[in-house]
Amino acid sequence: MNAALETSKGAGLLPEGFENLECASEWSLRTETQRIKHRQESSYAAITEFRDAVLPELPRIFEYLNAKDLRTLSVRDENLLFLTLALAEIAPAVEFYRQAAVIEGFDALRFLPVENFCLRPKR
Amino acid sequence: MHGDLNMKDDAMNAGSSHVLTGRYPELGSEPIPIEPYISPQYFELEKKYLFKKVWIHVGRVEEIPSAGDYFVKQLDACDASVLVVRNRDGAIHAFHNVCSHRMNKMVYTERGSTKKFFCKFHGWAYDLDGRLVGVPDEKCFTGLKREEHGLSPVNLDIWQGFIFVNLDRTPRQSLSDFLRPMYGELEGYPFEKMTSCYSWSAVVNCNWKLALDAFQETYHVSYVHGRSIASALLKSDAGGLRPLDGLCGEYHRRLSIAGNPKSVYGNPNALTSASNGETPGSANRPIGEAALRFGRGGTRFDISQEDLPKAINWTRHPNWAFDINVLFPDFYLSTRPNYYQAYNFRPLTHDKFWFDARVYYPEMTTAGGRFYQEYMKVSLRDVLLEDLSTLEHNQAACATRAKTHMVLQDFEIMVRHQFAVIERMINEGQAKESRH
Repeated sequence: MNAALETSKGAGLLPEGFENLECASEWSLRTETQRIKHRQESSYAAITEFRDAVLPELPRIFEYLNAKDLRTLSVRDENLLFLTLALAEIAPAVEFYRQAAVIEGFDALRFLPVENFCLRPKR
Repeated sequence: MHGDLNMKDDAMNAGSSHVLTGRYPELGSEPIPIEPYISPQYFELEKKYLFKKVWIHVGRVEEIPSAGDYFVKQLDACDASVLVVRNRDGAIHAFHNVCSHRMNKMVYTERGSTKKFFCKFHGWAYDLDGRLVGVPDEKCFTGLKREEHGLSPVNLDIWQGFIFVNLDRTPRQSLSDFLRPMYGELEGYPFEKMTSCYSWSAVVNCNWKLALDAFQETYHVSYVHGRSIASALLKSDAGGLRPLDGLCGEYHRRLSIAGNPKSVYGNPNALTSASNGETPGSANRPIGEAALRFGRGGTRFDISQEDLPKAINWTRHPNWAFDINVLFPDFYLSTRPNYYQAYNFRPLTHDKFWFDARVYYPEMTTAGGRFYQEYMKVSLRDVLLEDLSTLEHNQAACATRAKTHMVLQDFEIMVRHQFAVIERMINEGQAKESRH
């Protein structure tokens, strides 16, 4: 489920002070499967736009999130974490391939994560 | 290029290009045949003389922590479905996933937790030790002795938390005897501390050996991974990506590989106490650099190379990155200072395998640590998509029979070793049969 749907309607999705990242909230996705699919479906321009929005904010994001217990993040804090995980997801696209998908790679949709594996971290 | 490292004597930089071939002359140096990769008949021999005879890795003990926790592993190369369960005493046992009554598959789900197993066909019930404990309308059977109709046991043993099964009713050697000659000194690696596991799977139209071959040499890295992680490995003076060393045993094989400490992906000290706090300063990979910076201090426990067992980095190279351990026949275990990879190349047919790829990290306690972990994991997954990219083309090309043999260089010796061990086991098995 899109994390964006988990917050009450009309409210902001991200913690106070991070309103400037609301424009990137479509990338706030809970699972790797959602994130890889969103990466694959996005244009390269959209991917670099997302990077440009979030990358400069990382020092502020982790100053805020690293002070919290990862196990008990609020929904809004989780949404912010998911934005950073989406940045990790698109890192190979912008730092290895300069395109959304792996160049001449095996189809990512044939090699999906096993999201329900019992040893997989919950977030 | 890294003359200060003074590593002129290792295989990576040795002038001779026959370092490993020279060490293992019994493996020969001739081209090896393509036929074992494309022949259904050869696959039948592998099933009979390998997969149904040796210890096969099926999972970790942490997957089934409590009484009644179980998982099922479909092992097509053994013609078996195996049920692995933890009983009330905490012991782990394996059974054929087959009801004793009319042979229905007992458990349909991949994993779960239960007090008893019930067959969905006629309701026969078994406890966690495989004993038959319930038979509906039992009086309608003639002289049924419950104690003779438990689930059929499968030999199971555990090494360093890895669960192995052996489908041979009387295995020719114990798991310990099978593994320890090559991996005894790997014991003590903190596998049990790497509790955050990410996994992916795919059915790939490729022979299992051809696939595994692509993971047991570094010759391909500059090409297949040229855009991604080639720069994370350490180039030899000769310019290529040669391993530091390789070991070929009776069954198993190992490779040791050096990393580029200035990279994020190949940095063996990332997030360990041995980290010197430097970031790689890679201007074109700012997300990777950020992952390393914000992840620092984010792991549940701290490890360093000093804590690792003897077999790790056995050449004691200062820039060692990881060791590849291939546990015969189909289990690839790559041990690193701060995480490990565990892949099974499970054969389905002669030209199809199920790739079960897992990577185990320590638990992360901070968001920054989690970001680093995600960066490493996603990079690995995309690198695997590169590795997988050649396999189906490779298989299709073999099947054309345009060529009958493949030529191998010195550092592709693991491909040769795999072929030689399998040939030996088939020959030994056939010879033994002909004597009886």
